[in-house]
Amino acid sequence: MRKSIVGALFFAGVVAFAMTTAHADDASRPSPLRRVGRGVYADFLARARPSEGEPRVRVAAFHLEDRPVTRAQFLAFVTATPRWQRGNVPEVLAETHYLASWAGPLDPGAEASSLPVTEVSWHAARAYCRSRGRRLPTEAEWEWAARADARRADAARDPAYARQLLNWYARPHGGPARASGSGQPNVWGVRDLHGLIWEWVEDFGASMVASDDRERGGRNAQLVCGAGALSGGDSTAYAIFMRYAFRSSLRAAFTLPTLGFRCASDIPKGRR
Amino acid sequence: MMTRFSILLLLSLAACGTTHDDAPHAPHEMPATPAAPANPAEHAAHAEHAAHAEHAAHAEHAEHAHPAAAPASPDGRSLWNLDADLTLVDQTGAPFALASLAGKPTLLTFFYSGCTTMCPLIVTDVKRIEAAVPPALREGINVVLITIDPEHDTAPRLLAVAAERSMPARWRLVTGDASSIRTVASTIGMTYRALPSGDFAHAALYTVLGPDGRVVHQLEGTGASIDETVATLIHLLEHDPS
Repeated sequence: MRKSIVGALFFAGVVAFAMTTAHADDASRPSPLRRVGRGVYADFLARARPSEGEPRVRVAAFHLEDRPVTRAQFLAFVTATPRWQRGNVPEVLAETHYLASWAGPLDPGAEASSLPVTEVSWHAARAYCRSRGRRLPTEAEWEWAARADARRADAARDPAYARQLLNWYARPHGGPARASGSGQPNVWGVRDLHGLIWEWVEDFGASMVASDDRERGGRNAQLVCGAGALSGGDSTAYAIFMRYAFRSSLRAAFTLPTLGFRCASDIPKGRR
Repeated sequence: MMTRFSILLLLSLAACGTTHDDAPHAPHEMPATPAAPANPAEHAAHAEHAAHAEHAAHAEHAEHAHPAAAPASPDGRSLWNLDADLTLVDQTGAPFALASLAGKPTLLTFFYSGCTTMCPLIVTDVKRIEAAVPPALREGINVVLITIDPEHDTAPRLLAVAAERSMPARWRLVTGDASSIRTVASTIGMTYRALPSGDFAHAALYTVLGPDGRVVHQLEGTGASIDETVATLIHLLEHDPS
């Protein structure tokens, strides 16, 4: 009798452990990739740099993770890669606020595992994506994916769409308030490009470089002034302007409480 | 807690104000960021970093008796920390590590050989800065030009460009994989993007690294006054002779 109770308890323990492990594995596995079809969209900044003569941005089809990287996923990364654990990362790669709200270097907080990871530098975000055999999306790719709503690949010119984004931008946010992936998918099956956090891209800030602006060393400050949004020629683009202005202010080591990321990958040419 | 909107407003206003070109540079200040940090606390943190960096720089220079080799564990702000993730070569095809610059101040900039408008001006500026350093001290400076077009600027191509444009043999022209170059550039605030024409839109940014690999000064824009850049290099040479 006693033996059978011990046996049952042991069995239950094994099952519970297996379930916990399986759960942890699920949460830390990389997010699924969604195919984002190729696209062409009007370059928001084209009017501000007419000499380049290219008013459109062309994006080839690519894969994008369906949600921002979570704390649980990032925990798996730093567990496997100690050099990226809080306390081990030199300041040139991540400022001192790196993962600052985590309870410990390997403890994102019991309730916080499903939140998008923030307080990560560009370097850390890239290192994570590399570890998954992926990369950060380019700014053009991210912006193209973000123009979609639930029905259309490009809803950005719809005033209702722009209003929704501006409403989000206008609300106070101290950090991500809900689980990554809890938003509605857009037409590509990608979630939470808006309404949760800001996201790193591979070439952040590069759009603000004007090729004909030598006095300023190529960096056209006027593009990010208030008037810069108006020079975009489309008032519905103000939300887009906000994102470009934000990204152009970043440095690679910044670790902000509202800035996270997701990974992307190429689609082989034959399969696009 | 500051609202997102006010953060953005601050960012926009900051970007409309002073730029690198307008901002006064003290000879060994830390680089200004292109816009204000995202919140006042961060701003304060940056100011502290800068103050601490300057203080630490002087202290470390005094202790740096044999600066020829990179320290085993570089300062947290040193660019040498990037080396683990970089694959770069110089114009001879030899592997290039940022830590190989240790022990001397470095003048670092970016260019690409196919650029016929701004890059010749960049090369001219580098020559101008170097020429303004007294000849006796000149050899004590590393000069590094990194291409932003590694697809076309192979090591042999860079070697040819160095000859075509009369660059001194001791200058190091660096290429490598695109990701490595983006890593170095993004770390020090150099922005660029490929244009459909095959050209690049890019900043002109001259960075002075201390002998320990930390950024101590930056100058943006071609044809600008080089006085502070030169003063910074001379100060580093005189306080940390190698």
